[in-house]
Amino acid sequence: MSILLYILWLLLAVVLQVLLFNHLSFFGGVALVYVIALLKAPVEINRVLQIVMGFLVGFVVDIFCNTPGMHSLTAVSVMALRDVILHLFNDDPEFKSGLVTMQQLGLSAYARFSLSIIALHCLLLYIIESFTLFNFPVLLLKVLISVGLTFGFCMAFEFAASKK
Amino acid sequence: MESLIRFITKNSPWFTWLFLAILSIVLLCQTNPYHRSIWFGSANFITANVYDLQSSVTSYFGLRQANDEMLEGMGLLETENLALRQQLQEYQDLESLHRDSLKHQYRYLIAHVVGNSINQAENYITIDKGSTDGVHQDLGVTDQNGVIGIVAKVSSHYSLVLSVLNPKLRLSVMLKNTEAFGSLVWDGKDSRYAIFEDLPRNVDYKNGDTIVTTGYTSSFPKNIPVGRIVDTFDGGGSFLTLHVELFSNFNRLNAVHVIFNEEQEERDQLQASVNANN
Repeated sequence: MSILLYILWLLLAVVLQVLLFNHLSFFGGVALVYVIALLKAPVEINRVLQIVMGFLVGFVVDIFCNTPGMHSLTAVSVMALRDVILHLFNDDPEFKSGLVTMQQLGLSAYARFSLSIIALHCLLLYIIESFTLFNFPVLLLKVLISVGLTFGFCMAFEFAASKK
Repeated sequence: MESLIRFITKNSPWFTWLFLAILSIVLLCQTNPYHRSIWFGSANFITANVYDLQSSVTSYFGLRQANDEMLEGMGLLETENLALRQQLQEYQDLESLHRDSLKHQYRYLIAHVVGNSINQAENYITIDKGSTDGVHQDLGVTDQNGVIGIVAKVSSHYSLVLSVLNPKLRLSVMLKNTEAFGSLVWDGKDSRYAIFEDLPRNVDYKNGDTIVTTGYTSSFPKNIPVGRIVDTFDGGGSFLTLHVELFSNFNRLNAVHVIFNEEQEERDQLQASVNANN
């Protein structure tokens, strides 16, 4: 059941990213809402599968952005570290299955967890992007704007989902 | 070997990550756009179709703005259209005016000077157009510079023109742009100069001002140039007498224009009837 729900989240996040948020840029920063699909991956899924899934999500976004490898490398790396980061914020030893949600972790832990993942994702993505053009103040600004936007949208979606 | 397998199995996530990360880096390093596979870009069939579908939906969102822009453009075109119509009307008016006043009222005939004198007390000019060409008495004659004279006598093929350099001719002239008028006569002294008489004393003028015809007589249209003021004689009365340098060089006359005024007869009859009643 949680897998089906997760696939729904996955499709929604990727479609929204590709068709809407990729076209909305604010001072060069873009809201990377597809990260919510990485955040919420059910914990019972095997880590290898999680990493492969991260790659696929990044790859689809790459195809639509014409940036082959960029989002894939970022997403695959974030997914490799996701369980490690989740352990830092999860105090519940009983949490062995289901999506990562606000109800499960609590607002504070969920916010810190998603902020960590989003910050890692944005930082990695813009560092990879700026291999060609390195300008640190601009990079930092872009990362900060993207982190802010992404975190805002992801929390909004999470609140909207938890109300149901 | 067993420990190697155990190591790989234990760390399988990291190996998966390593493999996919290397794959991503390979994709990332295909910087040459010609080497990038078309399947990995937005030009492939699925991606292009998704974008096509998206634009077919989102293009409706821009309709309001597109409509506003189109309305604005139409407004601009309408304004331009009005301005052009107005301009066209002005040109049409001008053309009809031109027809009425110049083409209809005045007509020009080119004639050549065959006989001329400048040093006699009364000078006449002979031109090679006569009654067969429609020339008749009292027609004005000019050249490219200004007034020459008035037709005095006609034969079938020639006409005798009373020159400006003839004291019998009194030409109605005025200061250009002031409407202050008087008469131009020749004092019989110098073929380059004539006298502007009867100019009211209160008129503001200076040397170099241009003298033109008034149009009060039927022979000449208004504003045909005659000469320019060079000097003032103060006769002491209520009128000024001015020395005028003539624009036309009577020494070297060749082609002249005979001016036909289509309304001349009508106008002369009117004036004659007024004179007869008095």
